[in-house]
Amino acid sequence: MGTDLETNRRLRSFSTGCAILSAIISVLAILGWLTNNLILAQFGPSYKPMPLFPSYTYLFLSVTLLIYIYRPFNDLMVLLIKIALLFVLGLSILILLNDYTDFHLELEHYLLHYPIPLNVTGESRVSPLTLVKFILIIFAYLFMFSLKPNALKNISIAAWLSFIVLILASINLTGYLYSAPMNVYLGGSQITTTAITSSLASFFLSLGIIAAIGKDHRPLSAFIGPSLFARLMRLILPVIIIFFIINNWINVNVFPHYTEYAITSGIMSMLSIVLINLAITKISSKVSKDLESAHLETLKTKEKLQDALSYNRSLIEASLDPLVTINIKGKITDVNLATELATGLPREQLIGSDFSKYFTDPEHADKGYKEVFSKGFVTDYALTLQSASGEKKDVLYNAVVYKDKNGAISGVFAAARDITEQNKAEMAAKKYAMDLERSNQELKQFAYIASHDLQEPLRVITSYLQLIERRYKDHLDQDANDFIKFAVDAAARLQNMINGLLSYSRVETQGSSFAMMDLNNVVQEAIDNLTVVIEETKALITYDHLPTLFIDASQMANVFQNLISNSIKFHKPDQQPIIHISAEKKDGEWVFSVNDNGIGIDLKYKHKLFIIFKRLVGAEYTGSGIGLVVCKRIIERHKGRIWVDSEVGKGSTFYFTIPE
Amino acid sequence: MDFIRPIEILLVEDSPADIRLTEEALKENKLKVNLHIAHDGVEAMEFLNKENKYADMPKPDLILLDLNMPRKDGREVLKEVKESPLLSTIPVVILTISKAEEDILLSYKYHANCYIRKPLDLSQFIDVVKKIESFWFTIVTLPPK
Repeated sequence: MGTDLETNRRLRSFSTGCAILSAIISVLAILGWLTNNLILAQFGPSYKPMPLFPSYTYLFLSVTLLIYIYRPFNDLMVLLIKIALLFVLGLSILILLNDYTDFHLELEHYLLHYPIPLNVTGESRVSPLTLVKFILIIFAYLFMFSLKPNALKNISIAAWLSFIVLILASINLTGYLYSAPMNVYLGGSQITTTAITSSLASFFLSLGIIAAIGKDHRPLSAFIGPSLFARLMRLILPVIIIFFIINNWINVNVFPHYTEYAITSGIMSMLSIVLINLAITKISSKVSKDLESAHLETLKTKEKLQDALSYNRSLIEASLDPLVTINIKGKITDVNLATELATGLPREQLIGSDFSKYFTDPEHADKGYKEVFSKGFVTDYALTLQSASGEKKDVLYNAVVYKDKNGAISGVFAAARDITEQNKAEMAAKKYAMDLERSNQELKQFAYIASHDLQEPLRVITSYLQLIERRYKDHLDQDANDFIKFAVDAAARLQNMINGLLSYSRVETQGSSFAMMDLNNVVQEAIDNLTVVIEETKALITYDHLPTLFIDASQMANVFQNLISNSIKFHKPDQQPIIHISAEKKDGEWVFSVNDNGIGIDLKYKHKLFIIFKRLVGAEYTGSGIGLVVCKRIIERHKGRIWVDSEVGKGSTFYFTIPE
Repeated sequence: MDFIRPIEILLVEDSPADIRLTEEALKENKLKVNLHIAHDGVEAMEFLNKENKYADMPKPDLILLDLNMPRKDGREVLKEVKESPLLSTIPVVILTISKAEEDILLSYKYHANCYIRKPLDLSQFIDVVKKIESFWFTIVTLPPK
């Protein structure tokens, strides 16, 4: 495209130059007439001067060409130009009629004042050839200006009209090369020769018009472009023109001095042979060079094409998804390695066979590829591939039509994605979800069992032990009473543990929904629930300003209550418990800490802290050993972590995180 | 209110240990009580409807009803009693070990007159039984028979 633009730019400069040259010639002629320097209108003392009418007309036509080239026109301007063109056309026709028929108007004498008297009548007359050129050029202009941009054919007519003018001008000019006479006799009547200035002006003007019409139209299109034809035309035409001009010039101007006919024709023949041979040699070398480079280019292109093809083929073969192309009849036209593996058949056998027959449901497969043809594509079309050995693969097809360069659909390009694994994973996930649901259900049941069925016998044991104690206390000795007490204590502990298990199991099953909650209120609620024990121990509990987060408030209160009551429970006997709660944002989550000045925990046992019923302390501390386990489970339900840092004798800090 | 005749209580309870315990607790009381036992819901309904061997039984003044029993359970008994025009006036005290919220809610939904969890401790249990007695038979005015 860049060269196209460049060509257009050059053509425009060229036509502008031509228009300016023809304008200069006409202006010179006008000046010559007006200043009595006729030489300016004739270019040579023995030549005919260009009369005023054609001088003005050439000027007008040159300016019109410039207007056409630079297109500053609007509708009104086009209208004015057309009127002017029609006026000049009329004049030209009238003058033609005036001079060569009996219809005499002598229009020139009314319209133009010749400041200098003319000695020869013939000199003042406009050549009929010039008038014909004007008529042709004006018609060309009328085509050019009246055209809509897409009327290419008509604009070619304009170019051809200009081309005729160019030929006429060339005839005139070559005539001058051979010393054209002032008057020519044509069919018995005497007509005036075209002035050399007029010939030059029309020569440039017609060239300019052809260039202005552009490279896309004949005849210019034959000379422009990278095609061999255009290049040969560009080469041959000038050679021929120059050859004939030189040949004739020599013929006319040199040989008349030598009258020996045999020598003359001998020299001319040899000269012609040498020149034509030179030209043909030049053309041949040019053509063969071009052909050779074209051949090399073809080879290179072929190589590149081969590379591109093998690249594409490797891509296709490298795909793990089975790829096939299918023609309009549903036959496979191409496959890749993955297809061979999936079907268990070699490609020779696959290509040319029916696409649909490799699926468990051929009708559905048929419907699928037909849908591609009608719709242009399918996405995620589910089919089951069946290999030669009967192995089945669930696949999703994605397919599009491909078209030839004329846009006609030539086939379908289809890629299958093996989703067997995916389906398996989905099934596993579904099964897992069902298992989870069932285990949740079982857990709920367990919770009920724990709350009722396990406690019932326990209560009976305790009650009857106590009944024995109540009724027979005085009849039993101290040992028996001790034994009863141990049994009752153990039963009470067992009940505690059952309650712990129940609350542990209820973290998931009885959890309420999450909401944005102010942790300050949550912590305060936990503290309020512990009022009695706080008063008993005179514990000092403080907390920083805490964030508002998306939590299950009652469970979080439970966590804080557990941690605070642990801290209080494990305080140093001789010290007031001091507990501080704080929160800090870190890497998109909040890290909470509950710090105390209690007895501390030996960290080598820390892994046992969060295991159910593991107690690290002696019997002097009461508790079910389930509080921290419930905390852990609640924190995990909140997608957080819980851990501890501690030093024996200094205190402990429990940390846990909650995502923001 | 002074009861001249003995108080008729229907205890619906499947566990012999619990039946005995309730009996023992009642023994420690001043009031004269006729304690009738039904070992499950089916027996309880037969008793209340005076069917089969229970034809001569009196209409109880109070029902102590456990929830979890074989065959017909306490929930069904409660529902049938409270839906029956003849029986609905009898106060029903749910006496159970269950602390499941759904049980508590369901019981009140079926118009149980109160829901009491059996305490673990014997003395507390005896206390509860005493309180049931004194509440229903000395404080509360019962519907006329």
